[in-house]
Amino acid sequence: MNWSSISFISWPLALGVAAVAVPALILLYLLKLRRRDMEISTTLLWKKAVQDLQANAPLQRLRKNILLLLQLLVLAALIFALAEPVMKSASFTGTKHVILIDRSASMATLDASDNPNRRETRLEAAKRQAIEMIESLREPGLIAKATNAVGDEAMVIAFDNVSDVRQSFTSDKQKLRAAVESITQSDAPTSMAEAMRLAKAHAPKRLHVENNQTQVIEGLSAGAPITIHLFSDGRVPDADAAKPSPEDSFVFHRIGSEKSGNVGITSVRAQRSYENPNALSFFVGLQNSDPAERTVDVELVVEGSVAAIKQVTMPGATKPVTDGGPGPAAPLPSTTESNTGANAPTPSDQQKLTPDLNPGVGGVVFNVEREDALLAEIRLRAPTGSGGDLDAFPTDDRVYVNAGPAKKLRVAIVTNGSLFLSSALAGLPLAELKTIAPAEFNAQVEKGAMPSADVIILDGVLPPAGNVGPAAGLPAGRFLILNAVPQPKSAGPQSPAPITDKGTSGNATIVDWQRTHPALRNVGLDSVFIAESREVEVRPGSTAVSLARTERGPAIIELASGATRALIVPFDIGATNWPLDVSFVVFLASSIDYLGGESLAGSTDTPQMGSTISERLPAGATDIRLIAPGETTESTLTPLPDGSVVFGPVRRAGVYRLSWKGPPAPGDLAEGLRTTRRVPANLLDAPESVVASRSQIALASRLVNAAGSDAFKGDQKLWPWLLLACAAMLMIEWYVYNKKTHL
Amino acid sequence: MLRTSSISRPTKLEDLLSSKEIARLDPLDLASRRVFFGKLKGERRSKKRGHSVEFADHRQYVSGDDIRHIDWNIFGRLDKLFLKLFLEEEDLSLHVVLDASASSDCGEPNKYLFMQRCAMALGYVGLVNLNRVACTIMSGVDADAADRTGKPVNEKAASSPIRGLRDLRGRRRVHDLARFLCATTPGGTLSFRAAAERIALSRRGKGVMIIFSDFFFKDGYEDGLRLLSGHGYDLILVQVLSPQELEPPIKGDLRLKDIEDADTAEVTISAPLLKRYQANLAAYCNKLREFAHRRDMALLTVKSDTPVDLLVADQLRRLGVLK
Repeated sequence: MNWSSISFISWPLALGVAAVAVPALILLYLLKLRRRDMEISTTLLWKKAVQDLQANAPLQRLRKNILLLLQLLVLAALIFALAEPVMKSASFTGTKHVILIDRSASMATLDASDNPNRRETRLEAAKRQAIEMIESLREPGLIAKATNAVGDEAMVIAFDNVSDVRQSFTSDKQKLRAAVESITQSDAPTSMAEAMRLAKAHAPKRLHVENNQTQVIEGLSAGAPITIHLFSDGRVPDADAAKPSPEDSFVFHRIGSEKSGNVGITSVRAQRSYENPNALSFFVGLQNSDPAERTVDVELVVEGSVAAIKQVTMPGATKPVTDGGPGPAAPLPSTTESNTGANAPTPSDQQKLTPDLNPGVGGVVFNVEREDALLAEIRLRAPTGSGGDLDAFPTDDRVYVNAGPAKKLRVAIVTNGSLFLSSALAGLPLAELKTIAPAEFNAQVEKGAMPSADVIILDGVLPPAGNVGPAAGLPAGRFLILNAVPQPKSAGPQSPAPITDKGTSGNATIVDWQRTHPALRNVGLDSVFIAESREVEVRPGSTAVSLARTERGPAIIELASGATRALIVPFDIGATNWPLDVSFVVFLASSIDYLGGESLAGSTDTPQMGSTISERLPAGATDIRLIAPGETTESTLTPLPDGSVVFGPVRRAGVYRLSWKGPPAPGDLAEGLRTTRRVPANLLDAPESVVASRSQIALASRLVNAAGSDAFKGDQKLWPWLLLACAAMLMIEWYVYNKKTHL
Repeated sequence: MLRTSSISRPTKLEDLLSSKEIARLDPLDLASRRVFFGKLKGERRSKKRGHSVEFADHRQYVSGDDIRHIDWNIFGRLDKLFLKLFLEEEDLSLHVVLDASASSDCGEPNKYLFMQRCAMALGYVGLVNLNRVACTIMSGVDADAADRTGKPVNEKAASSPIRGLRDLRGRRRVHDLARFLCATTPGGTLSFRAAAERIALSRRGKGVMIIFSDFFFKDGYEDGLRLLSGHGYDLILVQVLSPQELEPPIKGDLRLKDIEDADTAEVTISAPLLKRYQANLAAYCNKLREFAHRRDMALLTVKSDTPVDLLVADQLRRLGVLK
């Protein structure tokens, strides 16, 4: 026991009591006892006996009085208990603590408990340890309580790739406990920087007062230094972005085992063959962070039934090449106690962060013949016959993926004859490509019968004005409009038209375009030269969005309004060099896929954990509800003006079920009046799938080693032990007294 | 040890001795370890030649002898004058002394009552066998007696340490003795030396003296006993202790108050203290016995719950006081 680590919370009270009680006890011994009078025949023999046993001098009377000694000891124990002695842990330096609890996907690993029969996730262990730490926070002593003083304060922040403050600074342990207990597991990746910023933001700022003006000094906190407790497995990729103040302590409570290996799925993609859309391939990327070679069974489950099983053997994780390997290049000061953080690092502190092993990778491809849209589940199992669990981290052992239906689009071109268009479209795998003369198109439109095609390409023509919708200037349908600008009617001065055609202008080049837009993905427009451009004005905040710009204005515009969706290329492509560029064919194919394909349910891209999911629903969808995986309650969603719904951030991997009243898109499930769409969300995060916990964490300013398991023992209250000793001594005193007076 | 809580004082002979006890005492007679000259003719053989019917010896006549005792038959045969000597029979003086200080009025059974009964039993045996019986009460001086009773106390009686009854003889004086014994109540502080001095000065003749007391005298028993010893008295000491004095039934924190002189001793009764007390008591008794032996006195230590007839008929008989 380190005696110097013992402090007393209420020592003035104890001192006062001791000053009164100890002399009183000794005085009681010195004072004469109130005795019972008894007449006896003679005191002759008694006096002699008493003289032998009793001395008259007060000090001699105290001599060898074991009862007094015991009573003094009992009193001492009581007084010490009253002083509320606490044994301080060396790591507890501040009176303000920030508890950061990692709830990211890797914290779901079931390796936190040493007991193999009781499996505990890392988050559960982290919460347990955090509550232990909260219990050990110093409370105000008896005197301090009376004067409304506070003890140690703590705040609770839970983080994955987003952070939220569960409890701001308080000394109320009940609240802190409840805050820690309310933290739930998420399947999102880890990012600590935001959590550190939150912790800093909640710390009281240091104020500078000059000329009666108070000024907050950014970056410096007031009061006692803050101790930041990180309960994590150390799998924090952006730890080097976290920069605690030099005077703040940082304690890393490591959760989980360093030896935990994991096999997980890190990527998945469903793709139909270009030539034969019925042939559906699933590409599954696997990762093994175990140093040993691992063999796993990969199962493909299509709509609930196992379609295929393949066995994959992955090499074990290997040590990275040290030069240029991961990990900070410069040595960092290593601290387990952050008190030394502000000091200059000594040579012994300097050490490198041990780099991770490079995980072994593997992959598997499943080929199935399926025409319709489907939801496939790919899961990893321990090889047949080996038994047992595959690994301790189940989240990445199972992914879901949507595959669209094997559908080819029908395209109609309304043109007076364009060589570029017809030759470019002839090469695309379309179900049908028909060419309609403008006069015929106009006649059909005026009759109210649109051509039966998924996408209509209008080459220099516009639908007749009489049938044009009020807002979009176009009838309902999907349009790729070239060399023309639809003129939607203005609904009045309050809502001016989204697009205004200002006529032709001079030559131009495309200077900027949205490379992430589905229609412009993989399209390079920087070599396009427009001889005769057309100046169009897009009103900001309207249904029209500019996708590409020349120096004179928008060059490609998307117009979405109700059931109408159109991509507008206002200039004449015949007067450009674009048709001769490969990007023209790619743009045509992408935009037809985009316009026609948006009616297909569920994209094959799975959203990243922690981000939001945006789904486009068919026109007319109402009463939209969402059921998250593992939940039974529905939440109601409101669609955006362009018909899409956004929800999230998604925290749990699995299948999100969107249901609505309205027509289904291809691939959606119609169940009575309601239509259901299944949106898969998967972890698919290679760094997060490496679950071996780290014993060090490299912050921007220092390298922090994991604290010992007794780091959170904190202040240990000693008064119960003193009371126990007091009771034991009372029993001894009772025994001694009885033995002495036993007749 | 403690003051007797409630006591019924004896008022007549039957209260002191039951008829059964009297029946057991009848065959006994007093004896003395020494032979003393009596004063009156009694039933005890004396060293003196006397006038009994029992022949003792012959001796030659010298002038002045009573010619009535000349053995004429021998003179007829031998023509010489011889006197015929006969054994003399005399009485024996029995002196019973009781300690009537306040400390005797303690114990359960009461020590003084026990002493009274013993004295009565011995007196009865002495009177029945035509011995001279004297009884002396060493009463304590009670300074507060006047205040307590509210009556003026006879100064002489109050200041005198002894009261006595002497020269009783014959069976008919048994009731007188009983009345005397019943009339006394213990109390006050006794100065044993003063009382012994008075007894020594006032006694007559020789005989057996039996002293009943607890011998717990603050001023010591040695001087008193020394005064009484010698001068032809066969001294027998009977130390009467109550059972509570041997094994005190007390506990706790006490202020012990001496019943005689109000002296106090503050004690916390504990096992070592009790052991020490008992050791002290044994040492005190041993010292008394040693003193008695050295002075040719006999000592008998009895508990106050001993049956009187057992004490008299057995223990005193073994000591040679009775036969």
